Amino acid sequence: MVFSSLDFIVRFLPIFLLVYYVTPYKFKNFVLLVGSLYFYAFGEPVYIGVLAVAILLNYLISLVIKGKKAWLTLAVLLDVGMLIGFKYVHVLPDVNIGMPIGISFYTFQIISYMVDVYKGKARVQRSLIKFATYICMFPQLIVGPIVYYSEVEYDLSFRKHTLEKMEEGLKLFIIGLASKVLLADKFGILWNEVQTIGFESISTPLAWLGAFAFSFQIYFDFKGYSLMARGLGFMVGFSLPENFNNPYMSKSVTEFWRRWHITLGRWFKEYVYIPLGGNRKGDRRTVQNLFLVWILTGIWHGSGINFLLWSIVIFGIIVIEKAGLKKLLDKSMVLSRVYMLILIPSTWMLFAISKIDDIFFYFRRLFPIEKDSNMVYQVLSGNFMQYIQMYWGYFLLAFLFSTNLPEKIYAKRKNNFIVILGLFFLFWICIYETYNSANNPFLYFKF
Amino acid sequence: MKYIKKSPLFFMILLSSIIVLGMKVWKNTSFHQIYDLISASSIGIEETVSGNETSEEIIAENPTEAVEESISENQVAKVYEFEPVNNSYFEDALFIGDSRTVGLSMYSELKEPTYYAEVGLTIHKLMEAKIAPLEETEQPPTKENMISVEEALQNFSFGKIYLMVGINELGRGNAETFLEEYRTVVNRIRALQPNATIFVQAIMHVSEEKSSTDPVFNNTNIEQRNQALKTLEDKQHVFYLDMNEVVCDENGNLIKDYSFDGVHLKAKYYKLWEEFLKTHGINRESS
Repeated sequence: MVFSSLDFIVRFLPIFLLVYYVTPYKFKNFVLLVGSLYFYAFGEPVYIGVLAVAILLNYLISLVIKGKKAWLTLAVLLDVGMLIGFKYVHVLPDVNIGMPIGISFYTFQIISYMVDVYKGKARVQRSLIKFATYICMFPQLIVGPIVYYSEVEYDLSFRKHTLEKMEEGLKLFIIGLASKVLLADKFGILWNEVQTIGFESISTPLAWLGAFAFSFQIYFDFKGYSLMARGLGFMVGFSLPENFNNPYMSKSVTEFWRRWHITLGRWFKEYVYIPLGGNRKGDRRTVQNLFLVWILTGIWHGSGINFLLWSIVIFGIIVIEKAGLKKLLDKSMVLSRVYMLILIPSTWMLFAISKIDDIFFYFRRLFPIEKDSNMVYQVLSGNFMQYIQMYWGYFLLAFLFSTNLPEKIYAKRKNNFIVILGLFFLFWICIYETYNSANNPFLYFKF
Repeated sequence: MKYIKKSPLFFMILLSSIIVLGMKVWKNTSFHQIYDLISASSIGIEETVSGNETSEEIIAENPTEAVEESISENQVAKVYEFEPVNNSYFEDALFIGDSRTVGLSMYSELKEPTYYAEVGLTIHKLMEAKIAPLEETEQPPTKENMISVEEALQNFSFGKIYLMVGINELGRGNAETFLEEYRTVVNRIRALQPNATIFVQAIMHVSEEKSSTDPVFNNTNIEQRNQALKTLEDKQHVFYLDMNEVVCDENGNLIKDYSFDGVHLKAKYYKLWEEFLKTHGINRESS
């Protein structure tokens, strides 16, 4: 089940919340756990076993792991092995095993817990139900955020449920839902159109439009899910960490990756980069450590070769920025904006396009250095105007919502009646949109 | 009241959800049942009508009529064969179709014909769709300047009329009802444009990946309807054209590399369709 589906919004969530709130405090964790397992099993009945085994084994090890390097090694090997195994098993011939949903997120969360308990940074959780609730509570199970145990330890035992939290949770959920349904999905259609035309045949303006469309799609999709997760967390009494801090306002790629998917970035920093020595062992080691972190980030995102290419390019850019470019960018308003407007969409294309040949074609369209006689420039530039006419409103909104302005206004006025009324209508518009696309697929998938 | 003040949004959504739920329940029980009853009886009538006609009857019915008609017009039925033609052949041609034809108009180099094409066009809406520009202008036509295909066929004349629709209808009706509707449209076009050669184009197939996973948009369904469309051919005024041979593999699946979504050709492969059309002209005036 995904948060933006009708199954979740109109069936699972209201029924779950009703049961959860009438349950006595003592059993709330249990209800949250059972609800989360049902939520997970709804779409992936097979892989619930993988999740259960991971939780049980790690729970047992965690009881004896404190200060014992051998147990830590075993736990990390187990979790990383499971993750790598499921990621790459499909490359073997005649094997038809998919990736269990959310495995990249929950294994990372488990590893962080095991390391923290080993180091004594976190106290071991002796209740299996509480530990399992921490790993697989449905708000963060499938797409994160990757929560540290210390962030929810107190709430697992003593959290309070208030109407104010419910209200705040609903607001965040609606904003997240709208990001996903009203922005991300629309850009998804445009990006799909560009792929349908085929990269060999698109004009340079359309290539850029496509790259921006994908950049906004992935941002509003992921940010939307993260907001919904935070909102759902509030509804069940937890305060989950934020995952985005207006990354598209960054002045450098280095800064961008500190503000994008924050809980993944900090995980790699804390559990890979710093244990390797971070930047305290000289420039050569720093670059080496960065390289390793980025290779792992690439692999984490997917098994396709394009993710490796993507992560190496990001690594390269960050090293260049470290060497002095960042100082220059931080000082300038115009240069940094132009730099980011070119780099971000084009590096996203390495992420979005899985075939190397296609990436090559796309970059030849983005940066048309040589004239290509095969191209029908005239026809296809008309195509660009057609899409601009259809999507300019979405682009305007997307640029606006990539700044911190809406957030600032919201923070000040979130209890204003007009804002509340706006969110109320936004909720029903999203429901209507989702209902339409679920029931009239022909409205959306017309040929 | 104190609670509502604390979280107004929660109560607004709660209240409205209850209202929506109530409306749904009410609609499902009283009004909806009556509605279903009415619509069920009308569907029932349609079903008996189409149910009585078996496909063989349909197949037998029209081609003979059409052939007889053409014989009475020309006395002797000539045999026409497909022949290569050049671009000028298409100057008096009209293409009517769905997104695939939109693609042909945008991405092929076939610029001579007139195109009345729209994403999502179906045989059911074909004649009344307002997709024909009232006059040829340099500017892209606005909505107000568009007339229906029916009106356009009354006002302008064409030598050849190419049709390709059918992918959008796959989820609707069956091969027989589709054929009936198609036949009505072809007859209407013939009545409006008696001198035009009509090309009924087979529905383009989808890729193997799409075909094997989609319960509706698959090549079995498409081919069933194509076989029905073939029966419209009389080889005098109406010709059946199947371009699938140039874009499909030996199993009749749209070649993977030619399409991203498994349904539409990538821009550069419209050339294959264009070339197919240029080798499948019919010259009725000559020979």
